[in-house]
Amino acid sequence: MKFIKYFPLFLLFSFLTNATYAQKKVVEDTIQVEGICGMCKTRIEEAAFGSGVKFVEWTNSTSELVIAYRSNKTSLEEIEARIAKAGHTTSHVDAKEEDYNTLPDCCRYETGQKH
Amino acid sequence: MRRVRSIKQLAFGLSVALIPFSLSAQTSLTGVVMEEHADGMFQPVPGANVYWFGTQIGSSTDTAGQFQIPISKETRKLIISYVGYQSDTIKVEQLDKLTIVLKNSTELGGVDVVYRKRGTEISYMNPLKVETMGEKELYKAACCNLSESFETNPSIDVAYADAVTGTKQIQMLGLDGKYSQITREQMPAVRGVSSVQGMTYIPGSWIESIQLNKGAGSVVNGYESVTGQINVELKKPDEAEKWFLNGYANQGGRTELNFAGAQRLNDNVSTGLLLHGNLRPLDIDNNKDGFLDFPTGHQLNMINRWRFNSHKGWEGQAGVNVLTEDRQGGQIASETINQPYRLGWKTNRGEIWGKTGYVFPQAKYRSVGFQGSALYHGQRSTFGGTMYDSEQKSGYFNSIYQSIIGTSTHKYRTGLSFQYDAFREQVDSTEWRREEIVPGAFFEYTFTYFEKFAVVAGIRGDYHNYYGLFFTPRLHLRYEVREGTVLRASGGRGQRTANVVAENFSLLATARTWTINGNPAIQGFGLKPEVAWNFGLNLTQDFRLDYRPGTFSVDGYQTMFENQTVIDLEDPRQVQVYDLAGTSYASSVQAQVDYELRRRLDARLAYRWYEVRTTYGSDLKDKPYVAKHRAFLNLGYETVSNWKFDYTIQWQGRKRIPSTSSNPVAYQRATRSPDIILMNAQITKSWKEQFDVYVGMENITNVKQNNPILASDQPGGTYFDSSMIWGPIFGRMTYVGFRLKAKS
Repeated sequence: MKFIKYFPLFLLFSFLTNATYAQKKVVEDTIQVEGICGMCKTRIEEAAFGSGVKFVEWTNSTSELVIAYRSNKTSLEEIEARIAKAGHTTSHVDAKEEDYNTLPDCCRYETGQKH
Repeated sequence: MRRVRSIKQLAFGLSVALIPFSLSAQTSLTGVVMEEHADGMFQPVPGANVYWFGTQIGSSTDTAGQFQIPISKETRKLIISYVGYQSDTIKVEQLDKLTIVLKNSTELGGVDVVYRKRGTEISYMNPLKVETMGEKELYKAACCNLSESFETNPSIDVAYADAVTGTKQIQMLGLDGKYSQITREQMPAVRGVSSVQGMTYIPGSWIESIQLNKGAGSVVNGYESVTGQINVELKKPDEAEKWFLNGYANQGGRTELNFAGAQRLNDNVSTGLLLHGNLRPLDIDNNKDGFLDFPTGHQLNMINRWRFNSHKGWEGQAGVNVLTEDRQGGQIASETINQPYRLGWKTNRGEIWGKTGYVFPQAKYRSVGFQGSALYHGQRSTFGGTMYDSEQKSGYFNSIYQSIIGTSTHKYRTGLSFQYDAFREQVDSTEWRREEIVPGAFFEYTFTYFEKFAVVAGIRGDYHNYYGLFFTPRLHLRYEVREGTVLRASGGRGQRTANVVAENFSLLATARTWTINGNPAIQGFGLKPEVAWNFGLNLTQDFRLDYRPGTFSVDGYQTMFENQTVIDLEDPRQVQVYDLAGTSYASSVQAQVDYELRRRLDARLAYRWYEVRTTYGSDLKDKPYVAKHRAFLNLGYETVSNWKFDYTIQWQGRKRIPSTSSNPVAYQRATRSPDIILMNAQITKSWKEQFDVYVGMENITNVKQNNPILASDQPGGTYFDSSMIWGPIFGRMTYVGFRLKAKS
């Protein structure tokens, strides 16, 4: 039972140490990503998130994607390529037509309005 | 840092209600932005951004939530954005003054979910620390009624009351659920003779959210809360899914079926229907003591409610709730047992309620509301050869007027209330009757200094027909030390009258003799009212570690009884009930961390410590069956493909068991229970947010209290006792269920 008693402390401690190490070499960036709805938001954030990515948040009203990633593990190019592959044009990468065509109706930002 | 806050609160959805009224303004558009709190209070939102879509024309709201913006020729789309809420767009059709209500709600269509919702949210701005458990949290432990909704919440303990009735009891701050005020949409719900079993009258699938507040509550809702308030919001007729169906079954034969339907009849009127039925058809005796582990039987429960909104300030609703329950349990008849010990009860309950409110269109901070309800509750039960009946007829009325003094920095709520209760409890030929009439008045003042500091000071005076005039002061302070760090303090008084037998009906399933040491001059049980003071302090710290949000909170509460109805079980032959002579207190400290450990993996880690002591006779002793220590870990993981995994492990320290030393050795118990580790897990798969299937297991470690019934071989004998329960009666339990939703 001793272990159980101290388990919470151990867990808390391990979060803290883990976090301080991990916070180094993290780059924050903001890019524009085309999208118009909540479905787009999920799609964009899911596509952006990958190995080395710490944080993603896309805002519909501004079309801004805030990302934080570890520069030794991934790069902005890689992230943007993934988003474009999902059909959403980014600041530096245009989505190919065949990828755009895979978008669900509500996400068709070239013809639709933000909603 | 701005982002940190917004993400914390982005879980809220936003709905926009437009209430235009005529006013001729042509060069600019004016309006007010307000938010609605869970208690129905409207508050202006200062600092919200208002701008025309795709333009540079913008404005923001002042401290009173008012804004003025030049009219745009290019667009009619107005965008309102505010930290903590989803930005939203309104199509302005008329240039009348606008009233925009940002509303905290989890069930709203057409609005983006900006960030993955957290199951439990602690409101940041509220002077009272209110934890809101939304649908997501409630789905984590999918079974079955209000008492069981707290399995994943470290602030509330849930335990079986006894080994035969299958009733679960909750504890808050170490004290029984009867000391918490349990309301349904801010109206009295679980109180009086149903303060224990009433928790099973609110099916989990009807619940939209639960608001939990530890410590003294607001004076607006009455004087009865001592340890805290639990408010349950049911699915709303105008917001819920078109219909919802839930089925549940477990290996113990417990089956439940729930339905919720909502229908918007026109712009003004909507109606909702909530149905619940549960059935336990199987005789189950896993521990082979000859007694059913749970009573068999059924419950049918129905609510029909109507909502009206004139969109010109008037709003109202009315509803009816009817319930019938029939349970049979006890000893299983066999060849060797001619006259089995049986128990059972039949309950009939009916309630009607209504609410109406008016928001003054010219001055949005001014509103007036009325609420009222009438309840009948009747129960007939038998415990072996003992008959027990209880009956309650209650009427409740409350009026609330709210306004501001000068500016919205100074707000107040005041009103009059009236509570009528006629109680009757009868054990065999002994009957206790009482009729309580309590008119009251309250005043509550709220001072808000921007986001930094807030005070809520309330006082109420009530006149009780037996106990005379009494005052209930309550005070709440909130201080934002810095952004993300909030310190709160609370203090206040609570008073209630005990329904001695109803609150301890499990003790009827024993051979103990009852002695109630009342004063015959006082009606009912002849006992004084229970009076307690509660003081608390809590700190909430939001943090962000490795780009993921988390919350750390620590709180301490102290409840001190001026008078208490003491239930003394120290003599194994007796239940002695008397007014407290000496001290009685409950201290509680809890620390909790909520953190997203990995993307989509939420962890909640908590530890709490209790010291609950009461003077029994002349000795100050620990309250029985309360664990001094409890540690708790809940993990929730969600995949992109809509699989959800939930796991809870908790460790409960040892509990004191009342002495049985005067019994023969065969019928003695240890004086302390062992400590126990309990685990629950559940897996849910959703399809298109319309169909969920879940399967789960309770008590994975298969911890059981062996021989939960003392002298189960001699139910008619002197030593029979089924109330000495410190742990689970049933072992590992598997369950399955589904949810089917149709969006409106």
